[in-house]
Amino acid sequence: VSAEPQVQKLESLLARVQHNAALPRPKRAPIAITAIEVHAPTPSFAEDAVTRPLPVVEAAAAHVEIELAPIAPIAPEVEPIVLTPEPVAAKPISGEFAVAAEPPSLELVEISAAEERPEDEEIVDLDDLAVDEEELVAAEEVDSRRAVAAEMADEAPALEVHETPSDVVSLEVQEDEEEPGPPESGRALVAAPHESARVAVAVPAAPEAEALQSIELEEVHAPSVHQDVAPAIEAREEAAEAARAPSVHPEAAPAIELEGTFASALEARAPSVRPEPTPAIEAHEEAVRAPSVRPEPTPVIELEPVRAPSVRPEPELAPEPTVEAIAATPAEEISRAPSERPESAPPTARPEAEALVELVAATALQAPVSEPLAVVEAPPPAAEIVPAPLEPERIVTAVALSAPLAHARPIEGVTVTIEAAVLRPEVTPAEVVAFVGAVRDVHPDTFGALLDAALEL
Amino acid sequence: LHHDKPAGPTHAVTFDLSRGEVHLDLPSGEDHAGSLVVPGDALAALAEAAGMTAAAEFGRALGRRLGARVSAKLDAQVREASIDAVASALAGELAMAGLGTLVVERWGRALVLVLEGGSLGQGAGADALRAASLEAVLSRATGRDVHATSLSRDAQKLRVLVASAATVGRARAWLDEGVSWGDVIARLHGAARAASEEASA
Repeated sequence: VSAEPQVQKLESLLARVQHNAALPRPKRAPIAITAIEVHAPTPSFAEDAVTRPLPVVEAAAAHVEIELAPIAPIAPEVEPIVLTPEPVAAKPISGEFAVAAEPPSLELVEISAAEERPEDEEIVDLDDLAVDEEELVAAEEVDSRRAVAAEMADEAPALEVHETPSDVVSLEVQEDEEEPGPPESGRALVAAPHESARVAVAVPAAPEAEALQSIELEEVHAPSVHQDVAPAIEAREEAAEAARAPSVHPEAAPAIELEGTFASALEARAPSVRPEPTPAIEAHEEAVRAPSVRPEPTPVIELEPVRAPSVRPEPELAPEPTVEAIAATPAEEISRAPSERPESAPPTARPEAEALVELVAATALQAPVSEPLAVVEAPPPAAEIVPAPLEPERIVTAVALSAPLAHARPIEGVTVTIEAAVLRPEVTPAEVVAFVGAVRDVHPDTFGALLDAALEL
Repeated sequence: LHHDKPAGPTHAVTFDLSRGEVHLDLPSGEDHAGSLVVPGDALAALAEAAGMTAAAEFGRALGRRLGARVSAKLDAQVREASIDAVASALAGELAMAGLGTLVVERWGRALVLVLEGGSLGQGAGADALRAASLEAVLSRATGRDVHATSLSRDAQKLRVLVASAATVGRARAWLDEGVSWGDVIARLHGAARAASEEASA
């Protein structure tokens, strides 16, 4: 009897347990797992999942992104449409021409023998008509060729652009292979105007007269210099003539040598006339022909003392070149110099040899000081590849002796650690062993021994 | 690790509020005028204004007091005590003075003390004060003529080389030339090795 209430209690307890077991569990855990699965592939998402659990809404959005990802390749289908300019030669003949080339329409009428026709009416035999059709076809072909030629002529103004003395335009023409017409003719159209334009810019009439006037002024105000420069003045007059027709007198050595002075002076007056690439090309051309047209060293030697004290700001940076060294400068070296100069260099910058000649002439003429100084700047020296100094590597041995306060611990011996991963090159392994061995040899048992070793260092 | 008198703050500082004095637990005869609780940045400013020499002298005076306490804790047997015992005693005294935590390093034969943290402010004068304090602590505790100089300084740590006067002078000269502190230690060992080879030859 006494056990029955307990049995009932147990039964009720069992029923509650079963009831609780039948209750649905919260779905929180699967949601969290889903969120992690979504963001797991991307490291950044994984970090977010660790620090901040994502709600279900964000997980769903991530799913949408993954599902939408394959749609992305659809976009490139539009890209293959590339609009390329249609070749001019492939253009069809215009419709007007086709209509005009149509043979005249003929009216076919049966003519009986008895039927009378007016005298002015032309009667064409069918056999003859066939022949005429062939002729018309041939004529149509001829006309079509003429039409193509006419179209070519209509597009000729595009080529006229290349006649401007701009080097940039000429480069575009040479690179553009899709331009109509044979390539040789295009180059010919470019080359001749370019040369003519360069000569015209280099030797204008008015600045030349000004330069000669400056020479006369120099004769008055600096007689001592003039005495030495007198041959140079005559040579400069020849230079002016040579500048007018440089291809006619290439053997005029002093004139061509001094041409750079005039050209630089003229460029200084009108620097915007000449495009930037032109001086480099001109300098290169002069450098190439320099060995054959170099002047006699004698006048240069006479003028050198005049130049030396006034134009060399830093002797250690720009050592004074000897005449022999200048004359022996190979053409390859001079031609390489412009490419080594910075882009911001003034257009009058020259290689060292030419700069010296310009310097001599400019000093003799007593030109404005600022411009020759800009010219005197020698090209920057060739960049030496200096190996970077090695990081100071240390051969260090550290012995942990103690930690402060409560973290102090006993040490049974000496622990040696080499902290430097890379040793100095000059340190041999034997020295390293000796160094470490010196540490191991000393086993200070007391603080006094340790301090004595340190004081004996 | 067993210390005869483990470092600890028990009775290390006594505040006599009725008289307005602060006393350190020093051996008899060492504490006569009491002590001061001074803000660390104010002391650093004073060291900067006073100059390196005055700051170093102040540090030596402070270090001598601390060295006396270390010696007292180790029963005046500092030289015979183990390295760990001395290191722990030194670190405890410096920490209680607010000079930071101490780590003893040994680079080859060179002895380097590293101070980290502390209440004292930053600055060259403060570092000179710290280095001089370490120098005086060791001198007072061991009875040897010890010299010290700053080897390196970063945001947290100050490395101080402990050596003889001549060695410290060479190290200072190399440091003034811009030689890194690791190279200074290596050079010191190279010079010592060359001297020993000459002596043997």
